[in-house]
Amino acid sequence: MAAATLAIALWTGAAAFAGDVDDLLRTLVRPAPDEIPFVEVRFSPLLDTPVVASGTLEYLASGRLARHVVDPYREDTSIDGEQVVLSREGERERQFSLRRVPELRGLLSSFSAILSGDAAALGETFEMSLSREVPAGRWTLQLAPRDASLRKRLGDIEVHGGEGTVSCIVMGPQPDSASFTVLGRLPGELPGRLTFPALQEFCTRTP
Amino acid sequence: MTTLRSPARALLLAAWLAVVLVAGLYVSRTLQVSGDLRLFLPAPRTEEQHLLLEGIGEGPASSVLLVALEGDDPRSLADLSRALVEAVRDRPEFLRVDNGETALGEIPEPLMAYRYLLSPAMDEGGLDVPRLRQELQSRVRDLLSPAAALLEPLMTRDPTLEVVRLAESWTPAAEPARFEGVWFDGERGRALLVAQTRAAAFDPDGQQVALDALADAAGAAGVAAPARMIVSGPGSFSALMKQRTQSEAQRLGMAATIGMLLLLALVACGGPRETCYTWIDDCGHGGSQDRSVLNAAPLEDES
Repeated sequence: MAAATLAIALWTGAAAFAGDVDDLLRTLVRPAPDEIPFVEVRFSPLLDTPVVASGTLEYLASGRLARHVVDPYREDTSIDGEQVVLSREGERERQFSLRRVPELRGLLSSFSAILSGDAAALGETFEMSLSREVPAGRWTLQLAPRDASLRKRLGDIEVHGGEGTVSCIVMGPQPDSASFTVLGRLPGELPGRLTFPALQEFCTRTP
Repeated sequence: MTTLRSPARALLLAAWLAVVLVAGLYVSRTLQVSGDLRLFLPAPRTEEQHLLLEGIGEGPASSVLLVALEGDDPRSLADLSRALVEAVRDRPEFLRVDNGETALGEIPEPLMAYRYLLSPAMDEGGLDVPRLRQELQSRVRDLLSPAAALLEPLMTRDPTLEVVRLAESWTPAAEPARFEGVWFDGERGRALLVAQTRAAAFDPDGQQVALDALADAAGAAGVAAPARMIVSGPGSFSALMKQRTQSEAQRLGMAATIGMLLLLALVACGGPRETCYTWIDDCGHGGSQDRSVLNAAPLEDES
């Protein structure tokens, strides 16, 4: 009896939760094609200070994305299905398959699912937990890869946003190798000192 | 001429049997049946010839099996091809397996140590300041690019990414067509793979073990009707050759044995006695003699 009650409670909880993510994603849907400016900050154990680049992300269709870095150098990446083509000014073009970079695939599938409002696809790859701040309208969607090896390599993805917008995508298993993709902002709007806590704070506080 | 007495006869028989047994043992110990076709080539004299013969027998070109998957739609075949690579990758019988989905900078580990020796960039100025600066600048940019996850693990060992340069320079200009990143034939009817066996090409037993392992892996990867696997290459030929020779030798050997037994039976107890004696008589004495003399008179009397 107790077990049955618990099961029902869990079931209703899960259903309500899935509905919640559904509702959230519905407000975030962007019809393709769409374009949004981004600033990316990347920490690495190989670097003393994080590197920063900015440009635009282009959502062309389901599974087709383009990323254009404009500042401080020019670089274009196009992702079409499995094929990634990376070209940077003054360097030879590089091609690789997404299958070899599960981290990138994880990020892309989450990004793609969010933009197309596909909660089912998102739930297939990730365990989702959503937290909302009711008065402020801010929310954080925590995505934990279901696949154990991917989880180890990629860590959790945190997506932050406000009313109808995604503002930050944070990924990386450790603070010293994390990457912050801030959407819809210009580099000047970021905190003055680019540290992990400062960016974390920026992503959770800014609507 | 004297007739041997029966103990002496028994002794002779025993000695003969012993000789046969020892010879048989010697042969079974030392006889090596080999499918090595290099034995037909002249013996190598120079280093180059040694290398050539080694390459023919154990080199990658001869220990590579060509595998094709066919019979299904391209998408399913591509999935099967990936599953087969996963299933074969950890088998001890194989050194390497590829279906075209090679990663940027993926290079066999033994070659990694020789990256600077092999790289053409070292001949074009080496690691001077401007080049190193430019390379490190590019690495910083790589860390921010979507290829970061791919390249970051390489950077500490190989900051100038010579392995990537090498892999690029070794990529052939003409490659099989690809579908979903996997090698296919032009009509997309067959997914293509290559697998390098640990066994040398002319080691039919080793190749047979590898082929069995491959078939086993294909089963594990879900290669089932309508899809099927075709395997070709020197190793598969050598296993096939051994099978053919073995079954043919068995069949012919069996026929020969039966023939011999029949003949012996015919000679020993089947044929008319007269023919028998006449024949011995002819051979023994070089001319025809009266049968009655032979029958009546013991041999010792004749001499």
